[in-house]
Amino acid sequence: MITREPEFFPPPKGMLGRIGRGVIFSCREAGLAGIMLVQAILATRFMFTRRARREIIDQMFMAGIKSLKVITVVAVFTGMILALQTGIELRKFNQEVNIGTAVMVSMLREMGPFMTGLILAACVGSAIAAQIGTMVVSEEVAALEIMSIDPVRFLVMPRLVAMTIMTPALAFYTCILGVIGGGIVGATQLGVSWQAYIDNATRFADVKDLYVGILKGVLFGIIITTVSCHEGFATTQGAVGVGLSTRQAVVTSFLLLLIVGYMVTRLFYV
Amino acid sequence: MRAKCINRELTTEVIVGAFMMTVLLGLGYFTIILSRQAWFIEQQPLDVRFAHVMGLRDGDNVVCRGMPIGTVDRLELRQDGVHVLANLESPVTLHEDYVITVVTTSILGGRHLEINEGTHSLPIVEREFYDGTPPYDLIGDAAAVVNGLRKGLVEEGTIENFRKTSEQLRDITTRINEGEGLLGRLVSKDDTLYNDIAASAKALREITGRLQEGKSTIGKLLSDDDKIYKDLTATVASLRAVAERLESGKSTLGKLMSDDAEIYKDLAEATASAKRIAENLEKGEGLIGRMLTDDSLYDDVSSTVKEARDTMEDMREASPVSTFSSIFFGAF
Amino acid sequence: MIRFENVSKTLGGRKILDEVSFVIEPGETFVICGPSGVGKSVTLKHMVRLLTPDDGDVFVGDNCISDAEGRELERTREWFGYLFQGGALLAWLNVFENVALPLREKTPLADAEIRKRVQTTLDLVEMGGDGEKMPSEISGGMRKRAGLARAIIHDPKIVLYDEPTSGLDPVTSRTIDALIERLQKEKNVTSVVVTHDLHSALSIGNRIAMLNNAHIVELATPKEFVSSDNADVQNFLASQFITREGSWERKRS
Repeated sequence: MITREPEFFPPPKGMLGRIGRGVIFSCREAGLAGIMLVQAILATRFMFTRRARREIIDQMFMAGIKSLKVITVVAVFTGMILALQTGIELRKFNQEVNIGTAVMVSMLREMGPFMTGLILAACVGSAIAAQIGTMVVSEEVAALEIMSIDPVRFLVMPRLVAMTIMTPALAFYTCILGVIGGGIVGATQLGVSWQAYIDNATRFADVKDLYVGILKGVLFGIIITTVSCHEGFATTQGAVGVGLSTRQAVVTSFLLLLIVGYMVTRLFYV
Repeated sequence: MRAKCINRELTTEVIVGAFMMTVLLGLGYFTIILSRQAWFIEQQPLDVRFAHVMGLRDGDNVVCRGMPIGTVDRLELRQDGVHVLANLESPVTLHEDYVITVVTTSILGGRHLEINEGTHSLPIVEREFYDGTPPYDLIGDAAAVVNGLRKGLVEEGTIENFRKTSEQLRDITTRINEGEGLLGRLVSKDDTLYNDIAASAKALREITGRLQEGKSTIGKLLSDDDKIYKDLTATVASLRAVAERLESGKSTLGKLMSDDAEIYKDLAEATASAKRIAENLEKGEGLIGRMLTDDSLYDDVSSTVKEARDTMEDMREASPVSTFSSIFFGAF
Repeated sequence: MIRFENVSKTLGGRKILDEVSFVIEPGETFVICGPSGVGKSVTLKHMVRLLTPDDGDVFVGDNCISDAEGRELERTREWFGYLFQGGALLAWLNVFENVALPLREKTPLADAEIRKRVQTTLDLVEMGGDGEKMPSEISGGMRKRAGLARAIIHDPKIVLYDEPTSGLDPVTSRTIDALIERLQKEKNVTSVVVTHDLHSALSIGNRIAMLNNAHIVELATPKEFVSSDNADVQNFLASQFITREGSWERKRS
């Protein structure tokens, strides 16, 4: 059951008690989130029903298309910053032309998915947590349960599918725009011609870089949805609780993005 | 009302669908570009055998005369070495003295296969597979040479020699600056010392000349990079300045004349050592000489020269004689 | 129909229910009343297993819902319609879709059949013309009526009402009361109403239970309830200006 009974625990005694409780609670939350993720993945067998399709498309629209504007700006500027920073350093060795490779590789491997992840966690993840939190507070989730409509299938699955598809797509979009942004800086600030930049960018990046980035996007999508939905369902204490859940969802997503991003890089490149 | 609703649903679907299609198309396009596979061009296979490929990877470029002409398809480890199977978009004919090697692409890393077709007048070779030249491990070579140098220097007492020489030179310079009267005697009574210094300078100049012609690695280095050459010539110029100063002392510093034979002997010894070093260098004997003639020392030497230059900048204010010695010291 | 056996529940360190036992008969309208925060909603939530008792059992028919899991729980829950305090309509669906939700999700009915049944039910709660409105566009009373429509769309055997008249003006409250009565009469559903509105309780209830200090302090027909000697009951009645000789009975149709 996804709806939670209100819980009460006597305040912990001393420092050790507080730490111990923190550890146990974190483990429990992680476990619950994991179970929810498994349930949601199992529920994907319903994803081709008419209603689920509709809902998934809607969620993709909300998550992806609605965040395109901010992602565009962030992506272009990320690429520009990368190009400028590496360009300034490389200029010391007369190697400005290599910003193409630098921007392409770092965008594909890390910055593209990571920036997308951050933005989606901040825009979409917080929205998911707030929405589900509000639903919990206004008993809508309980209503679903009583109607025997599985909230995980009804609420989490479409979001999970939508985000799992949309995050890598947006990550790729971010990469492309970032590379274009880098090219603009290269052409206007560093004196690297567009042609040389593109040539350099495409010559040394690897298909592996591209697909590791896409894989990161998929993982980030799953993380953001799982964390946000879980925090939403864990909401208690009315409107204040919704605020807390939203905040917690964004913070946890950020941390997990960083950690998982590192681990994937470690897995594929070391 | 309902029609409007359906319309909105359709719009959403179309937008999401269009976005996904664009992304998928882009993804496909990038996959093709980044895999560097020419899918619609007939390709010529090339099989090169290497003892060591230095981390060459599938999909790396094959470059001929600086132009990318294909990609490495795959690497196979066989009994006789590593076989690099490449696909070439434009065919290349290899002549007898062809060289195929693995090269580091940029300071950001990456490797590519460099093909040198060889001299066109030589006969064309056609084989099942070609032999690759083992990649150059510059850093490894340099480390070995430096180790050898260090060993040689310590065992043969060269460092000690140099230290003595330099100390003596410095001593002399100090005394000259302090005006102990040696200079006049040195220059007026006995020409040997001056001649010795002049000879050293000449020898050094000859080396420089040889280097300039690009006869050895350093030469190549210098002809590539004007700056280092200039530095070296500047050093020689400094040396010449010593001589000139000594020379000018003949007329104006006569009053400095004294009977300090000890110092005179010191200076004579010191200059003789310097001369010996320069001669050895020229003949290509000894470690420094080898260093100059050995092609594998490119890196090591270029850094040494740079260091020497830096040291020299620092010592510019000091007397030219100590500058001269510092070049040799900077080398170690 | 519903049987509580020595149910105890502690929430937030406070004992809400202490060995509570009672039986709700099929077809009756059972009212649970009492001051706020006394555990009325908690009792109601035990019936559909939104809460699980710490001790004791809750039976629905012959099924022990407090032990049920998975499919069994799902089947038992299908007996129920539940009207939440705020209606609990899904904010991104319009009224029509909200009401149609249980049918769309849980039955293989064709679209046309669903439309027909939703329209009938909306007409029943007098919202026939408001199907296209979004929950945010309608008033609290309408939301409750829409929630009621959703609760009864799948013809449940039992309908649970959580504070159906709280926060509504007296006129709308009476409309809701009338609806509850009508449903009970027309469809013969068992109704369980949680309320602190005694006027409403007395006018629609067959039996009234009063909850105080984690116990049922009174369980009686409206007539007996008003004439109860229990001090808590008398206080509660007095606070809403209801006396034994009052005119509450006349409101009954």
